Amino acid sequence: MNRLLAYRSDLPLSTGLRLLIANKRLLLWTYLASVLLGLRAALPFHSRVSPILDHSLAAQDLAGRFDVSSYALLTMHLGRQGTTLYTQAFADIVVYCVFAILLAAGTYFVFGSGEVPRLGLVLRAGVDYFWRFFRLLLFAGIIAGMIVGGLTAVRTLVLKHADEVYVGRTYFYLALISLVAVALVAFFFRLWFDLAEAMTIQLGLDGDRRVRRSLFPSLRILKQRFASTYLSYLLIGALGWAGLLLCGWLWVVAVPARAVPLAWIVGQLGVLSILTARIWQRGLATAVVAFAEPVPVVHRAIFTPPPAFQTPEAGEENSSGILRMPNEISSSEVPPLSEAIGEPGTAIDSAPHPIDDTDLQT
Amino acid sequence: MLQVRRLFAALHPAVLCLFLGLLCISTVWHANAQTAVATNAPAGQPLSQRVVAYTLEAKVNTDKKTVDATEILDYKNLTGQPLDTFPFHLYLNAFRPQSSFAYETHLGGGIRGAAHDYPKEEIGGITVSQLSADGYGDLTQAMQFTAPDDGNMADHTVMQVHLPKPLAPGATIRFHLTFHDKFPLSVARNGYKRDFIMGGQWFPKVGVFWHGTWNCHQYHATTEFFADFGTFDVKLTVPNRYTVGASGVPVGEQNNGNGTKTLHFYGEDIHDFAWAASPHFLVMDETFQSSMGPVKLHGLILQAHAHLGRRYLRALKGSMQKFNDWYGAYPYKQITLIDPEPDSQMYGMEYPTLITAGTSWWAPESLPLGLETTTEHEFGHQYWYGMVATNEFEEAWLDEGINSYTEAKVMAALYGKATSAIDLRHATMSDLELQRAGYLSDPDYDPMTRWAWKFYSASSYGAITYGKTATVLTTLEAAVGEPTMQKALRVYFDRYRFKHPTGTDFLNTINEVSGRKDLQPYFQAAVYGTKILDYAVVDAASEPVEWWKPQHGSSRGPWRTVVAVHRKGDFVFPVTLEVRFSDGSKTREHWNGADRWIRYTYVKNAKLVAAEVDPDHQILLDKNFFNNSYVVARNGTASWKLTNYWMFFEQCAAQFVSWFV
Repeated sequence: MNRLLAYRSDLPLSTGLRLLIANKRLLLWTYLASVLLGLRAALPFHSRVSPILDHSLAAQDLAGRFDVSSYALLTMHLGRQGTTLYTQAFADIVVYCVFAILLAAGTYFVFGSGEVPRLGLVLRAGVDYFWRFFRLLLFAGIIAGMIVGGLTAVRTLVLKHADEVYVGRTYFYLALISLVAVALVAFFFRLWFDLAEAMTIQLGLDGDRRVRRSLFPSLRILKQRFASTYLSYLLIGALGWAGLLLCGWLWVVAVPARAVPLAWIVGQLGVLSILTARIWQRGLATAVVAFAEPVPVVHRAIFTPPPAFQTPEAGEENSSGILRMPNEISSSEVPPLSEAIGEPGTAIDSAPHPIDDTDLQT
Repeated sequence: MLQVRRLFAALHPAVLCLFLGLLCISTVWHANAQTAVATNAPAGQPLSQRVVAYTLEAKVNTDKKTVDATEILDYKNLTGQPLDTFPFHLYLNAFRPQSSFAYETHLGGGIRGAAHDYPKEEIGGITVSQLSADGYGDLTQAMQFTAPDDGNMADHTVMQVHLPKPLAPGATIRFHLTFHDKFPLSVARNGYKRDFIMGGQWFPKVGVFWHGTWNCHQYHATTEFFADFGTFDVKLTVPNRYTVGASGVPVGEQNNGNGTKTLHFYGEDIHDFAWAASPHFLVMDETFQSSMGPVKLHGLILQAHAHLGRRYLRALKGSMQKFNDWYGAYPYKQITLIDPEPDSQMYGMEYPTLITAGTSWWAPESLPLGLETTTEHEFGHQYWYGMVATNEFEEAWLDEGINSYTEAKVMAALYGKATSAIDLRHATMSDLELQRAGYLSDPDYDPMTRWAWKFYSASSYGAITYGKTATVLTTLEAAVGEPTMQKALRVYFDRYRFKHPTGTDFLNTINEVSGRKDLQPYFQAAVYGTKILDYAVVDAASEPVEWWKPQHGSSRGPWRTVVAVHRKGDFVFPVTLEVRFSDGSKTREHWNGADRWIRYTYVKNAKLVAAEVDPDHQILLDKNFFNNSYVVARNGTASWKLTNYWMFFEQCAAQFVSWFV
């Protein structure tokens, strides 16, 4: 059984993981971005607190047992500097979000194109697809905002009424269950837009820049195989957060209070855990899109490719472990135009293929 | 008569003896009951000068959250002068948007939250429909609202009545009032939440004639209460399904046969009466043996918090023991602990012989900051407010502040000196440090002695009244010694319980017990002033005495060590400086702090290791502990540890936010 058949095993979970493993450098770049962000916030913080603490005996209240009031007073003494630090940290997160869009687009591009995940390529792809992803984000913000926001409002209303009757554990479980319900809906939207992002890349590889082409087709794909995709997606997310919580637990129970390097390693493992899960989820989204029913393409003219020009089977993997859409042709496999020209009078269907929404019906 | 003689002749002598014995016991019991029902007072004597006697009969409508009641008030004129005006507090009228309380809460925040709007369910009020007095007739038309503090005539939290003729000194007047309460939805200690009702400040309460005039302030966002001691005979009619806890002790219960019951309570030597009712209370009782007699700990715990009931009582019992040992006995026969509905503003409030605490169902034992601290604090108020009944409007530091100081001490004794607020594996905090941090959040807007509603803001009120007072008294304790401070508080309690002392009385007691004549400057700066205390080691280094010679190796000697201390704040306080050297020796210097700075120079065959101001960590008023010391060898553990936290949380926050994009 060749690898192509293995990929056709309807297990996007494992496929996503294999994509992640095959492109480990993506994880490296994403993690480095996270570390850079962390350092961008942490080093100014250190430069502010170091002069206060490094020669002070009172700092021992923070080095050993972490005295909460000492930390509170330290932030008071930082005064405006502390406010600046908080503001800067918040602004950095906003900048990071922009960078996260670049990385997301780059990740999907690498998964979809099979290119080697060099940083330059990832960033270039990120820049190329930035506005398409940004438009998707706006769509997502509007659609998910309306529905999740509406659900949140309903939840608030329900809890307000529940609060008049229930207290303690009962109310907590009500609040928790309703929160989980809203979160599950939010996860649905996240998955949908992950699929849409993956499809946007696939369309982009076909030269189609229209974002709207990815929105509803990806929803249809999700509808086709909702249960397995959604549960796999949730499972990956849960694994990531479980890893973070495990590291947090280890930090608290096993790392000595003064062992800063060890604490740093454990903390970073936790961060790595959620980053890994996120990239894995993107791999899953790419696989789901790739394994979806082939999208019929309306050719303007009949074209029968010569034997040397055979289109790969759906979901076939190339040597770099990439997946391709069933109707996709890698640039390396495209023969020179002169070879591809058939009989005189036969039109060649050139990419991008125009695709109608109705054509996406499967 | 003959028949009676025959009857006695027929009785067996043993039965007769039993009958006579029971009669004696009953007589003795009744004799005691008449003199001391609610206290363990020796020989049943009154513990206070009982100025007032309230008799209240109230019907509680638990559906509408209203009360319809009648009040009989006997006021004994012990002022030594005729009285022709009587002011009454109508506290519930504060819960209207027109009140000074509402405006102040909107403007500067209240101690239980700021108001940005005024929803109609938070409107409450009290309406006195009739007022008369024996010998004076109907005085309903003579009632008028006043606003002695700010002139807001729409406030309606104080009304007064002019008598047609003055009440003579030594005479007693009996008022009859009929009133209607409408409780608000959980505002500032009061109202209802779900089907829980807190009856606090629910009846017209006469002011205190104090220092030659009536003292009857309006209800403000940051003020509490002040009243005369007396007796309270209260009957509350509630639905049968409700359990009620109240001040005093229960003395009777009657089923009315219409789905309601009437509960009878009696309190004496107290100055307020509060009650709480809920259909969800579980009763958890214990007994504490105080040095004046047994005290019933009457816990009314919400069913949702049943698993926390014993923790409440353990905290209460522990606090009672410490107060009994350190300051004096709790003289009442009962203390009622109410566990109010969560998410309400009725948590953490004190009334005579009744306290409300507050918790969440998940409250871990490693966070005494919630359940235990609140229970201790409110019990402490039985002493500093309940018995030593200071004027909470004008000198809030005497109840909240002293109570915060004793809270820190009791919590440290019960839950650990460093862990009495937070006791997690990697994070700790003591109650005292919490108080200090509270003080330093707003350290210099107001003096401790400012009248409560005149503070710059609610935040400043909290910081100074609670945090600064506790910090000032702890620093004072370091100066005079812990046993002396404890003795001073005991004397203060013994001398002023069931009275209305002032701040001067308190400070004079400390002066007297400590025998110190030099504390006045400290009181002036710390209590009456807003000066900041901050000492810093600003210069600390060693260099060779022959500094001009080239260095040969690292151990040249001798060394000249210079240490300079800077008094950065205006608060002058004597301090100790400890200087440690590389040969293990250390020296201590005592500086009166009068000048702005001082420099010490040492010539030794050892280099400086560290210099520290206040090496025993006694001056908690010092604003900044980090600059109190200088260690020559850099130790970056703390800064890198915090940096690691900062980085980790930044990364996690970024991941969380970027999930949405």
